[in-house]
Amino acid sequence: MDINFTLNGKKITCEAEPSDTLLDVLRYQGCFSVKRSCYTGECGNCAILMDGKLLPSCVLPAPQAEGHQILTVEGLSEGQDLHPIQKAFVETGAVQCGFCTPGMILATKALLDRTKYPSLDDAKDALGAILCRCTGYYQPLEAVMRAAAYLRGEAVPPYTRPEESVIVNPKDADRFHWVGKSVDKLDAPKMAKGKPVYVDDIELPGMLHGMLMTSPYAHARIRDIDTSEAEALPGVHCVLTYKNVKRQIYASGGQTYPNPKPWDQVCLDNKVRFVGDRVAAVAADSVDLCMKAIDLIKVDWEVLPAVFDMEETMKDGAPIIHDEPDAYGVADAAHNKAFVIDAAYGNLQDDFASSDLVVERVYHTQQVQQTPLEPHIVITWLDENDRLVVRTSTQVPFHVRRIISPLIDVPVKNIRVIKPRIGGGFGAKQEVLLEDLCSLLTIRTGRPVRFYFSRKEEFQSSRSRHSDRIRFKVGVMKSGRIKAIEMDMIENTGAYGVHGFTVCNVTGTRGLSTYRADSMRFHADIVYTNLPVPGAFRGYGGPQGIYAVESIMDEVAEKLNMDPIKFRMKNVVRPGESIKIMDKLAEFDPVPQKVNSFGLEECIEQGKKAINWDRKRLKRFHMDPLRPNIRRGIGMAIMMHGSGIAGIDMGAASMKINDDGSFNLQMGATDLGTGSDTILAQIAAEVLQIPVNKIIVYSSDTDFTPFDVGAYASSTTYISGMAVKKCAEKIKEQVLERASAMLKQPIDVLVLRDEKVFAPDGSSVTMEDIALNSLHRTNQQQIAATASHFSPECPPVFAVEFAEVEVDVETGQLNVEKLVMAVNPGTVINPVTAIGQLEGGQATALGYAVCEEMCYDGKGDMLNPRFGDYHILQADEMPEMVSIIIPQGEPTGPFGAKALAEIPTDGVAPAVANAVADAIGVRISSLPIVPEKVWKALQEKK
Amino acid sequence: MTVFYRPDTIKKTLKILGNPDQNCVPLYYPPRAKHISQWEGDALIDLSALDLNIINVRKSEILIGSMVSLETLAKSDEIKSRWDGVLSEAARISTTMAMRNLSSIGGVLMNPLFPAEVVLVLLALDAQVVLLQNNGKETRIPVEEFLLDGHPILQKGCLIKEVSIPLNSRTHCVFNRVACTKSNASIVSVVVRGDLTRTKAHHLRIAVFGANSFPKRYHQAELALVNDLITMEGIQQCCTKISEETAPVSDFRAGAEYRTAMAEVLIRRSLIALRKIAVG
Repeated sequence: MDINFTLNGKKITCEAEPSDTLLDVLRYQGCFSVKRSCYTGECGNCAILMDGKLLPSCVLPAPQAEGHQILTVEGLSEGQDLHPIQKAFVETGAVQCGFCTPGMILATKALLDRTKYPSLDDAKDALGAILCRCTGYYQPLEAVMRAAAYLRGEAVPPYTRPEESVIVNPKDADRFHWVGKSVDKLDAPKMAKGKPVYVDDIELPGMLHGMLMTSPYAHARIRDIDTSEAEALPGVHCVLTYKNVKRQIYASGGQTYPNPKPWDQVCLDNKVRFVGDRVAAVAADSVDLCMKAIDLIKVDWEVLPAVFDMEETMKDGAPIIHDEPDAYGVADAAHNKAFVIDAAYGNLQDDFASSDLVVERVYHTQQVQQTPLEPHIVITWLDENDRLVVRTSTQVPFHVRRIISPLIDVPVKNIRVIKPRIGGGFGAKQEVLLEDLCSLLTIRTGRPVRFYFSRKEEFQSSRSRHSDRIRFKVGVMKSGRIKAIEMDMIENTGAYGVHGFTVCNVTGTRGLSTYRADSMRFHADIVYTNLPVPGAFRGYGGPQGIYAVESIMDEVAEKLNMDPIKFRMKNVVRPGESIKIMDKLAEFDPVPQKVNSFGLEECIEQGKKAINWDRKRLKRFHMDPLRPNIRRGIGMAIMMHGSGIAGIDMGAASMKINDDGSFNLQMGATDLGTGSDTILAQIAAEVLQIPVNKIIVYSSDTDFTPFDVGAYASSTTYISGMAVKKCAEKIKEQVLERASAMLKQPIDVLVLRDEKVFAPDGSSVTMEDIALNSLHRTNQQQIAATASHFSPECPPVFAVEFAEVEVDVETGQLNVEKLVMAVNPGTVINPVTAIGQLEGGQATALGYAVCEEMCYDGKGDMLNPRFGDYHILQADEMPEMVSIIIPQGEPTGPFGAKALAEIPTDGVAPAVANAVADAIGVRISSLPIVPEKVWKALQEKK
Repeated sequence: MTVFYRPDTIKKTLKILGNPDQNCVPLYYPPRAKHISQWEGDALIDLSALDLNIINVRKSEILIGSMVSLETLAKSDEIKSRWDGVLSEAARISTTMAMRNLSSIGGVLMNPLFPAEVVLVLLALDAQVVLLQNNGKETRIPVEEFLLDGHPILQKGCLIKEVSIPLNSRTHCVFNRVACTKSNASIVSVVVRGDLTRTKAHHLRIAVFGANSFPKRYHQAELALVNDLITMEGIQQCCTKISEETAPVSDFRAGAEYRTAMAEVLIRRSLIALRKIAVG
């Protein structure tokens, strides 16, 4: 049927079926700002304005637009100009991955069309319609209020909150021109305008759609699979099963070569190991046809007993999940152990025996999902040279290329992987999840193929965070000195090993590297169960380990009747000390680690002030006479997280000069919305003393950018940043050499400043002069350089998290009132993006602490694979958050920088748990801390 | 789903709905949205051209059109100013603003579970569903009967026209709920209503969701408030009846034991709050 409506001010007529969504129709019309995300109206990333009302287009049948006025973000501004709302979002750093940004901007427009003077509650209600996993909502809320001021015609002062959050030593102020400055994120304007910058924002001629058939069973063999009817369906072009896909064992985690063991996956198997596991892949003319084809695939199943419990799975007689002969590196398949880790030093037995106090506890952490608002999506095609092009939403383009090559029998040189903007990753996209199958479909059909996960598949068939059972035992003296720490854990790695070993390694490292002890032991069993597969999730094992260690340390302090901060500071590792457990624990060969920069004491001092820590001692703080069922508490946790993986992570960068004195900067580093393109450009700008907008950044394309491991392990600023710095320094040498020839002055007297090279006699040449001279005139050369960097160090970042909570003792309901985080990440390259990382990370961590959990029925099927049932925090339920950055330079980092991408996820859960203990005198030893758990704990206490 | 209708009169709508050869689904959007593929039927009917989105205040009742959105219920002064703002709050907490713009009170009635807060308020206020039969005749049915055991009984060919809520200046309501976070789905929610004099609560209604498999009134607990007196003893007497009425289902949000306990806690709190309103 024809539908007539007005789109962004223009009358249009388009064809649609009643079963087409308005979302799909708008995208066909070129409105790529309207995003495919949940298809249940809950996330708001598809929101449009219909006659001024914010509506989710993913659940609206297209014909419902008839006669209405539809506005998308494309209709807000023209040309290069930004609408004031878009401008406000860019200035406040509210645009990170940008996937939810159009929805937020339209929600803001709807609000501001209604009222010129919105309250903060109005703003929270408006933005509550749009889910965001990156920002924590603070900067977007500030953007709303700022936009309102713009639209009222007020003179709006510069946005300075991020700078105010950075406590800079006066002697370090104004050291740099570009580093330490809140430069607008380079890609923010295009995302605020809704430009087609994401994987799915292209249409290729002849493009087919790919879809996965997944297992309804947790554990089953495929005795036979008949695809004949599916293949016979007109419009179906290819069906892949274990019968027609090479069996090549591999591991899908995007990690360094060789991938850590076990290698226990094949593209398509004749056995399935969890509900949601791959069974077949289909390519067809449309999504509907794919679904019909999948319905026609006949599988002869042999359903096998399944095991879901991480302790039961290790017992004799438990179903064996990996009984295939070609799985490689499985520690003990008969007992479903993917890997076993043991590391120890000192004499644990004696030290426990001689301790004045020994405390032992068991903690449980739950499985949670990253929920990137952009689900996994890949588009593949063969270019004019018949090379395979893989355009994918990935954090690890180079690993993707290397890993899929043997799976699809295409040499690396014939594969190009491109990562455009991606709508969030958080670790879920540190993985090869769809690229192999999509590539095979393209190779078999010769046509482009688009393959994406539905939101349900994103929950069940992608990746998540490992659930753990952690037993901690601490032996201390009455003085508070820790003598011995033992950490014994079981990590549930689900159906495949993937990141199991490395995540567990980090859990152990984070659990055991903050404090010193005479002896330590770490033991871990990484076990298979028939559950959806965990993988990398921001924090990468840190949240689990730090929840456990900071909970037990808090309890130990309480039992010793010591102040929890004083107890911790008595035992924390300090500058100059080595982290002994790191001599034993590592991904490959252990690399001894030392603490160089610290800053923890200053962080604690600032954090205590911000939370008003001393109230903790006051009885009147804990009880409110007007609300007799409410108790208040304050808790804290210390965090330490690394910067990159010592001796392993490597990044590289290339630069070249252009005729006008601008530079192309090509980096393998992967910007997930974190702002790495911008901060790496700032580093280059600082070296070359040119404005950031003279640097044209291009990243994450395996044909055109040098290698980088990708975005994980908090390595981008520290490792890739140093690669950029080195590269820019090589450029600088060439620039000065050329300038020396032009000015006839020795190099060592020349100064680079304000896009010029100055000689002491006052003569100068501009960067443009240098470019034109070198490219066209004299001794012509291309000023260009490439540099790479890896580090034998992994300088830890220290931070502290404080939480203030209220608990209703009758219901167990917990309200987190305030979070304060103080961190020393080394030099802060860009305060506005840094604050965004801190707030966004804490928001995710808060969900982990109080509400998120992947839940299953007795058959291993997920019970809550949709937003709403799996609740991620909204704008209208965030607590007050204060972020404080105390930069102390790290000598091995670029301009003193370390990292801050993952540490914000580490401390919220233990700080909240410790605050709950402070409020009600009961410790909750499993996450999430939901009302029922608190209530049960209180009942038991009674 | 092959056909889409947007009738501009009630008569045309009823004719389409009454077509025996076609299973037509009226688009009452629920607050918990469905993917398009989940609408079961041959045709969709867009009701937005029918002027069913009007709130009509009469002397003794307020009539809320079936297409009045939850956002209107949340923000309208007519609604906010009544019943202590409980219906507005229930609408607001049901879902996000974007979905509130889309979903309607008709959608709530057709999908009374998750979220159920608006239904609880309607139960507590003795609301009636005004139905248009296929012959155009209007009938009224109490919401409690319309949602028999949590399933709406809308016969083929009928249309939900509006919801009628009786008006009484003495009516007061209290709404309480427990959830993991402020905007998370409720684990248990309770609405209590009374037409108050200084000491008495006539027409006491206690509506609960989360401690049974569907939203329901706790009639035995209501009757236990002897002689309509809100005394602490009366409240205690009410609460003793709660366990007779609960039949909770454990799910991933919470277990049965907790739900039963919370029903009692929230009812007690709500009755105490109602008493405070009465006493001043």
